[in-house]
Amino acid sequence: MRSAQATATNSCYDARMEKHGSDEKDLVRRAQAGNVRAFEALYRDNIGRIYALCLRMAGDAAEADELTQQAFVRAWEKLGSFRGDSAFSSWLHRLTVNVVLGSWRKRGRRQEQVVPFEALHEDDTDFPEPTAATTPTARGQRVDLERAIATLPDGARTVFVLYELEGYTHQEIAELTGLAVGTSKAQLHRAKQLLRKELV
Amino acid sequence: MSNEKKDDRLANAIADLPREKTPPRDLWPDIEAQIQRSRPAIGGRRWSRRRVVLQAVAALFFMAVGAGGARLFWSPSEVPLEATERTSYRTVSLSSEIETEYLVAKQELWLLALTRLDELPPETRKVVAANLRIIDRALRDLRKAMEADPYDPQLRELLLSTHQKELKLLQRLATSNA
Repeated sequence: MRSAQATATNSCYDARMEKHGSDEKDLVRRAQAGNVRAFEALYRDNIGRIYALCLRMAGDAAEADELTQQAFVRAWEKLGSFRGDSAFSSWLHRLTVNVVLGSWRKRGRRQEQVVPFEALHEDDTDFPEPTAATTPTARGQRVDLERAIATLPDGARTVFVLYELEGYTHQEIAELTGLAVGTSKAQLHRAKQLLRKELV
Repeated sequence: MSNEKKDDRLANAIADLPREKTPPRDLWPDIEAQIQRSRPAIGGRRWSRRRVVLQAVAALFFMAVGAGGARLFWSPSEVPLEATERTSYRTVSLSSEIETEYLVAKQELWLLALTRLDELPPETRKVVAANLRIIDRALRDLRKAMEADPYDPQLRELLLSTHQKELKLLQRLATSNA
C-alpha cells in the first residue's frame, strides 16, 4: 500500500516535472511519441472538465468514473488522429461525448421516448414567489441544480448538458447523438421545464 | 412566479455551476494501467513502434522457417564468423537478472556453436547466418523501441521471445551432430 502510494506520488511528481515549461502542443507531441508522463500532464490539465462532463451526462458517480477512464484511454489510443487543428481540450471533450454516447449504445441503455412537443407546455403552473426563507443560497442552488440535472431522463439530460453547459449547438448535438434537430430542441425544453419545477 | 422569472433563476443557476469537478479519487493510476496494455495505433513514432513489432514477429517467423531449413541441410562444413559477428551483446531494458542470464547463456552457446559452424555446408551456413542476422536486427529494433518505452508489455514479451528463439537456434547449432 505504502509502495503504491509512493508510486502514485512519484507519478504525479513526474507528470508535474514533465509539464514544467511545456505548453499543451508540446505535451501532445510528446504524448504522441509515446511519453506516458506527458499524457499524464494532459490528463491533470483536463480531468476536472472531463469528469464534470461525464458526471453530468451519466448522472451517476460510479459510471462517471468509468466513463472518464474510458475517455482518457480512448484519447491515448487515438492521439495520432489529433492533428492540432483545434485545441487538445476541445478534441478531448468531443471524444469524451462520443465515448459516453457510444458506451450507452453498446450497453443498450434505454433512451426514453421523446415527449410530444405539445405535452411540454401543459404544466407550466405558477409557483409562489420565493421568500428570504425559501431562497436558496448560491451554493445550495448549485447543489440543487446538480441533483436536479442528475434526475433528468437520459435524453433530456444529455441534450441539456451538451447545450446549456458545454455550449454545443442543436445541430452539433443532432450530429453527435443521431437525434433530429427538432428532437434536440424538444428535449432541451423538456429538461428546462423539469428543472424549473425542481429548483423553485 | 412568472415563467420569465423562473427562466432567469434557472439561467443564473446554470451560469453558477462550476465547469470543472474533481473526481473523488485519482483516476490516473487506473488509466495508466490500461494504457500500458493498449498501445495507440497512431502516426509518427507510434507507427514506428507498430512496424518494429511487426518486424520482430516476422523475424521470429522467418527464423523458425529458416531454422527448420537449416536442420534439413545440416552437414559438416564451414561457416564464416563474420556472418554472426553482428549479434550484439548490448544491454537491454529487461531486468538485470534476466539480462545476465541471457548474456551468459548466449555466450556459452555461441562458443559451443562456433565449433559446429565450420562443419556446416555452405547452404546451411548461409541459412544460419541469415537467421542470426534477422534476430540481431529484430533485437536492435526492439531495444531501440524499448528505449522510448521500457515498460511496454508487448515489446518486453517480444524481446524475451526473440531472446529465447536466438538461444534455441544457437543451442541447435551447438548440439548438432551434423
